[in-house]
Amino acid sequence: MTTEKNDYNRIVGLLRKSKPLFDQQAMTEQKILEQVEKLNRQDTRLHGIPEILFGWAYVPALRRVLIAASFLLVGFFAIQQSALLRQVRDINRQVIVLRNESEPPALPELGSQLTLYRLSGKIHSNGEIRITGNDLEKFIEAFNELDVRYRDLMKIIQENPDIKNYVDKKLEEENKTRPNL
Amino acid sequence: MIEASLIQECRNGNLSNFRKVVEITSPFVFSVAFRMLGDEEMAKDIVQETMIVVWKKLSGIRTPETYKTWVYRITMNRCYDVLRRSKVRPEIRQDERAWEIISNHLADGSLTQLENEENSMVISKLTESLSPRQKAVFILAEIEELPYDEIAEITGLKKHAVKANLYYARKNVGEMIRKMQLL
Repeated sequence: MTTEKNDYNRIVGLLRKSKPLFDQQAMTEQKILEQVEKLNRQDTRLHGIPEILFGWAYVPALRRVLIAASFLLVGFFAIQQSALLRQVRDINRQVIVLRNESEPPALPELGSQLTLYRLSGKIHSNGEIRITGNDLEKFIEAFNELDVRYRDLMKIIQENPDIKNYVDKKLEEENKTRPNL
Repeated sequence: MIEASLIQECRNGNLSNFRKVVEITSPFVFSVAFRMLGDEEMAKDIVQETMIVVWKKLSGIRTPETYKTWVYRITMNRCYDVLRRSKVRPEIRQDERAWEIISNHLADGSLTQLENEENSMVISKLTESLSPRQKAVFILAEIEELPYDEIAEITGLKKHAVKANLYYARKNVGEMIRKMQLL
């Protein structure tokens, strides 16, 4: 048993001592390094195009500028959106809804509605006419001016008998040519 | 065996340092691969494959101190692959020749260096009845003299499984020696 154990130990010792001789070690190592270099080149080639296209994104200063720009853009977008919302709310406030009963009493009802229709360009099916306050002011001003001019003209005609005769004659002719509906 | 700083520099992609790593690492990779496969050319291929894997995955190792164990594991896995793929078993030369080598060395009392071919022949003969796993454990424990913990990490076995495999490997090798003495 002891002899067997001794033999075992001696054989294992012999194998332990006999390291295999690595023949042409330098050549094998050179092959390894060549393969590694080849791998590196392939790696560089693969990463080349994305590197050229997006490599600038890794420049620290440029990254900081891009981050700042993105924050500015987000801020600008938010401000613009709030301004737009405010404008939409203002437009709603500017619209004045007028009903038939709220028309000025000096205006003849039908004429007033038609004039308002022309000014506003739209009329609702339920008889409501919508115009802005600004348009209404312009309309009243124009009406007042027209009224003043009409009164002046009537005064001139009344004071001058020749003109009055001429106008009467013309109105008569006008009435004759107008078809009787 | 290999400086941690050297490994650390290689992890940063320094190829000139990797040359040094190859010089230090390849002999022991060759030694293990040769003892496992018993074929010089195959062992050289294993060295190349292992070192390429080392280069590719060096940045992934936990710490430089685990480098040696990690390289052993890659080498062993490559050897298993080769054995599985080609069912390569080194050609068994005449029993008499293998034993003659051993008995000559034992008889004169001087343990002189064996040639590669003789080394391969003796290991092949002694371990021919072992499974690849038992052979791996036998080579790592008895010839490379690694501790059980490291063998467990290299082979992926539990420590007690390493001990069990080594027990059966020793028993089989002992029987082989006894059998050869009777020839």
